[in-house]
Amino acid sequence: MRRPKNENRLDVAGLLAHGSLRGTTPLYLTPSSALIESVVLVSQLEAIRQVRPNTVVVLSAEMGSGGWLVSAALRHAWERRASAVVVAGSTYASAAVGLAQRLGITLLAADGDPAALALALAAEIGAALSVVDAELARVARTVAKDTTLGDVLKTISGELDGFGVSLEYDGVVLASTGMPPRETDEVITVEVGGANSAVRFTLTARVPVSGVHNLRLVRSILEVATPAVKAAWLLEDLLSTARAVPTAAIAGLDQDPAGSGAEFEEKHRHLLNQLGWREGELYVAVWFRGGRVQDHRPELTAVLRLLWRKVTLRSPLAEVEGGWLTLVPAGDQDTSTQLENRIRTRLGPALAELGLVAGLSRWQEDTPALASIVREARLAAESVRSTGPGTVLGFASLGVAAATGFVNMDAVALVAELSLPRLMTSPDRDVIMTAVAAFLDHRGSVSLAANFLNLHRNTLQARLNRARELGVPLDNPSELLSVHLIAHVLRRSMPDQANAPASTSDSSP
Amino acid sequence: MSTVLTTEDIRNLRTGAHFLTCTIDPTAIYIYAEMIQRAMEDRSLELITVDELAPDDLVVAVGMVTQGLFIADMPPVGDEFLGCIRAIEASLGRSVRAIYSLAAANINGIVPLMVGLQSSLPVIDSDPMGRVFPLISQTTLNIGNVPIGPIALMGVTGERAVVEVESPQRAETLVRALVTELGGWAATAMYPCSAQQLKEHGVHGSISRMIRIGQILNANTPVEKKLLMLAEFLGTTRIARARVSHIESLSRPTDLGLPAQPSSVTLDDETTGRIIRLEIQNEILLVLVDGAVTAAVPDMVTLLNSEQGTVVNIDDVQVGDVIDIVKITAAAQWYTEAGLDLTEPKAFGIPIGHPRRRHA
Repeated sequence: MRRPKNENRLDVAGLLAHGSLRGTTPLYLTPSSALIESVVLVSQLEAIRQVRPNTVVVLSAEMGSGGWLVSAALRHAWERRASAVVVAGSTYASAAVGLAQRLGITLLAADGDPAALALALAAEIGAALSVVDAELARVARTVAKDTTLGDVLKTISGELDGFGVSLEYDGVVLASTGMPPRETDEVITVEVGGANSAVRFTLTARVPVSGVHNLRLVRSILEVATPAVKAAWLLEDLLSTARAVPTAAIAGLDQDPAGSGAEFEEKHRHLLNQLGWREGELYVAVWFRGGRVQDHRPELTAVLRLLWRKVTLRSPLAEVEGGWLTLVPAGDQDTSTQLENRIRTRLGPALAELGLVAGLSRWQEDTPALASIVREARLAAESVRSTGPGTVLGFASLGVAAATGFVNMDAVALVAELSLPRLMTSPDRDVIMTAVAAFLDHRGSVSLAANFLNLHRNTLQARLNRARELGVPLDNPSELLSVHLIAHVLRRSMPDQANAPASTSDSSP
Repeated sequence: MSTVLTTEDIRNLRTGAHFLTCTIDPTAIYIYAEMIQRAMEDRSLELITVDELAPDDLVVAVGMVTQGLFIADMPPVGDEFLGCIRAIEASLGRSVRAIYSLAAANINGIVPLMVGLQSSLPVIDSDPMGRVFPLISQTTLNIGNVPIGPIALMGVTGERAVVEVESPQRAETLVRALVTELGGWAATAMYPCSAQQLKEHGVHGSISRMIRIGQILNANTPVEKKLLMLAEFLGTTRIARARVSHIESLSRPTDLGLPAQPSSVTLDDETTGRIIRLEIQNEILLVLVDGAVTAAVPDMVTLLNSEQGTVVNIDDVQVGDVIDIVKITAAAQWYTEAGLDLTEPKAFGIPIGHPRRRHA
């Protein structure tokens, strides 16, 4: 690609030396030769206001050649970042040349008819463009041979001298190849529109600014390659969907929450065998889900599948009710831990961007039922929803604490509001509830709780008494769990948690 | 309110009339000023506002139309304007009640005072240009559809013509041809109209403005102070202080029958490096700063000596001079669509629209 790209690049110096500008007299030449991409023959000054950058502006002979005209033309051309201004041959005052120098724009005088020069230049630009067209056709044929998205991106990158090329969705890089991105790169983006035009997939090339590259050609190559990108991606997605059927089946068949995992396995043994699941193989289940249920975008499955390839290529990802599921073979605990870390490091930021969370099942040596590990992963995913997008959590580090993930915090807060009105309206509410929470966290020990809060025992005691005055039933064991839950919820909504020295996760009920 | 002018006013008026034209040889202005000052020794000269006249009083514009000949080269006999006024009165069958100047600068800014003294008619402090333009069709009365005719002309030999014409563009052609035949210049009386029409479509305060400019420039105050006062009074802006680097004449083709040869001056602003180009024909039509239009007719552009604050004549500009280029906004009527159609650079053969024209 490099050779033809440089050969097709027309510039002022080149065309002056051996091109259609050879017959002109340079009145002023800029130190660096400007790129030439088009030519316009103007007969009215106003027309220069519309020219594209890198255009040679040729003033027609009938416009005359007054110094003021050249001055105004130079100014307009400079504002439009034109490559050069060509005027009819004549004697020019040093002032016009001085202005060209001041504005840094090449000024040439045509010895013959400027219109003839414009025609010759247009022919030369057309010839160069036709070479470019042939080149683009070759690129299109090459990328059409690739069948995987990775290969298509690699081919595009190869055609672009190894520049970084990536497929992105809403700013999340789904797949990339070539040179790693640098901040100074010139970013060229082409939309990869789906059937739904609102979906923003883009094919992006990052071109180092140091090199002299024809950015329009880079864009053209991306545009030509876009259909191949789409085709390869759709094909892969189709294959993934087929491969994910056995995984989807497990989630789809497990509709009886009362039945144990083992019962499920017994009931569907034959079907599971037919689907390819073998007894005695160890898996870790991974469940992805959206932070909010209604936030479901149809294209997310395809997006997530591309992202999932950054973790593993072997386990297909299935779209299931309430999220996405995959089962990853994991022969030992280390493999399971590595998997969790890989998901966190390679997908965490992307999941956060997409508003998703992930939950993993525990690794267990005694070959747990597939339905059980799927349930674990789903529970883990559901219980971390409140922690915020991008969270990745294993059921192993959750245990019974998962239960609090299913408590409706808003409902508990409402219960507190209605049943403890005096406490809720009290100005010292936060201090009192911090004291109550610490007291209950430390199994009713005033000494331990006071120590934890860095308070004197009597101070804490006074606050607990104050809580009792405000109606908090601290002395009725059957109500303590509810009080603890309310304390837990209220403490979350406190503006400043500095008065609670320990983190809430340590002191969960 | 009518004002009786003094000889001091005439001295200031002379300076003001020169300031607002800047480019033209001021000899004729000086000759007229001197004649007026002599004549005022035994007569008084009354300057009135248009409001002081009855709405249907007949008023007429007086002014010189020249075609290649400097008035100083062949001075008038003295009865030319009176002859023109009589011809208008005869043509319309009514008496002229007051006169006004055809332009608010240069010789035509001062001529009506002489005519006023000769005819004992009051001079109205209004005009149809608010500045000076080379063509008699370039008036705010034309924008207001006030007929230009009948036009009375009287040349240096005493020959007289009355042109019965309504279209100002057609009048332009006829009058130019007649003036050439009458000897290079002619005293004229045109745009006879009612005081009401002048009030509605004229530019007002023209004579008093020239007097005020003269008062400022002739006062014994430092140059910088004078420039400040002018900026405050006229709303002038200084485009640049620059050194003349190049002068060329015949810089543009002329086939529009405009009564002067085009030329241009290039200047370098030595502090900023900007290159300034003035396009001239009778007056400064266009100012390009680094190729961008910074001022264009109908804006008035005048050149001042950067050290003395005096007006620089274009004819006296030499390479190496340091000059202040000052822009003065013209009367508001000129910036309307109809006003720009008559006076923007395109009307002078320069295919550039005025920057104030709305882009379609």
